[in-house]
Amino acid sequence: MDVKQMIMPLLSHGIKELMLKVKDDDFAGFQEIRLRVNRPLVVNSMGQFYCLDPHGYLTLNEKAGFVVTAEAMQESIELMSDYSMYAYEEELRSGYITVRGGHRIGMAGKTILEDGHVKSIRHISCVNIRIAHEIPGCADLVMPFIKQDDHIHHTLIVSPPGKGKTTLLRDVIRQLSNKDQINVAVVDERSEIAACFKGVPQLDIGLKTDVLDGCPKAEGMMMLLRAMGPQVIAVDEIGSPEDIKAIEHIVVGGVKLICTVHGDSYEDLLEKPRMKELIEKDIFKRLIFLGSDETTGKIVSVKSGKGRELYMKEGKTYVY
Amino acid sequence: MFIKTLSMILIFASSSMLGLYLSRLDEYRLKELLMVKKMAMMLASEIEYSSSLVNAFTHISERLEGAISLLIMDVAVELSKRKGNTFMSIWKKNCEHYSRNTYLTPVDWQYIQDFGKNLGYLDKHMQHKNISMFIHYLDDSIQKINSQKDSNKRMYRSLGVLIGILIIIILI
Repeated sequence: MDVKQMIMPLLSHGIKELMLKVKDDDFAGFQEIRLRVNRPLVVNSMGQFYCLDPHGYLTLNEKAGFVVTAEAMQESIELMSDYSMYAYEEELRSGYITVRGGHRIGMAGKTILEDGHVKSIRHISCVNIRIAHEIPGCADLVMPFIKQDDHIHHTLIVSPPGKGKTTLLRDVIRQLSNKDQINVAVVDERSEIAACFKGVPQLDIGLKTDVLDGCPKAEGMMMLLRAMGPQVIAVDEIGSPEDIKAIEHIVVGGVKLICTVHGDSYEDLLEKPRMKELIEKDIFKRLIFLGSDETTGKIVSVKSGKGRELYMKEGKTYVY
Repeated sequence: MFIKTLSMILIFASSSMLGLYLSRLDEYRLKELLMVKKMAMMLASEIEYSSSLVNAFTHISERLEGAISLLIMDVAVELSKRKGNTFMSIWKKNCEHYSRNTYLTPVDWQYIQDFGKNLGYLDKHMQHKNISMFIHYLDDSIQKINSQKDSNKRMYRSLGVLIGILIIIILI
């Protein structure tokens, strides 16, 4: 099933008719579809925001854009939640739901608070459908650094938000699982890596990969270590004291780790006390840095745990 | 004489049968209300475990019978087609269709329709509140029928027989 076929059932009748007029080539470039009540529908195509005119053509003229009505929004939300918003109660507290195909739908409206925490969102008036894209092969460049002969290094992927670390992590997992026949266990706290829908991974994360979906990272890592006998454990966005404790426990257990963290340089990591502790203990033997400029997924540097440069690509960029 | 006697017997039998049928209407309605209550209670359990309405209705319809089972099965089928209609419009359309084939009263159906207005919306707490309000109405109706059904039963049976006798007397 292609992306368009997966997105269509999430949209109201009117919006669906509009999307059907969009050329397949244009649709293939969509990264986001943004719906806002009484405002034009906006799509993010290759990093550029466009409206769609009533004939399905991309336009920069907002006045010519197709306007989303409150009814269309209501219908779309019912379809996105499978007519069962209550079933997404937990996810909605984080502001998004994940649907079949691994696409993430961010929602905003009137929040309902309980004891100072977000309990739910009602009167949803803004929706952002973030279309999941897999980039098979995007980890080709870094795999020789992660796996040398039969040895896998504890690896930390470092990048600013939105620069492709999860996509890179997913491909590393897939390659370890499929090419190297390694049992990988993934703690996917925010359903970003495997994009599970009802527990089933929607993205290709390899044949020998087990996923614990929606589980807090520290608890999940310990559960997988005890229950699934993994050779590698992969998690996204580590940083809490509990995560660090679990990581130290796993390393002692002989299981390899592939993790990601927010950051933009080796020096930046050293400024974060918990990351500094891990680096000083020389737990991670490979640090992979993604660039912070406009290009998503540019691998700029691979360092050893002690900060020695192993790879640096200048001039040419490695883009996915 | 034979034809006259036969006619009188037929009138008496028809009137008595009509009385018997009317005396059982409460029982039929009670049976259907209990089925609706069962559906609501099962739905509460399904919602607790985060089943979608399509899955919940499909599971529940397999364990129920009669018009209520058919109603929720049809709703589940229509929801799964994802044609872009709202849940409320699908629920209402099917309620109107099945209301013609049951012993439930128009007021009962109005409550069933209203029950659908908040289904699926917001969080589990809201769903459980909606279901418990609906069950409260059903319990009231069930209690009312239970308290009246024996006297109504006797009344309709007696009326059926008496009206039959009255017609015969008038004809004689």
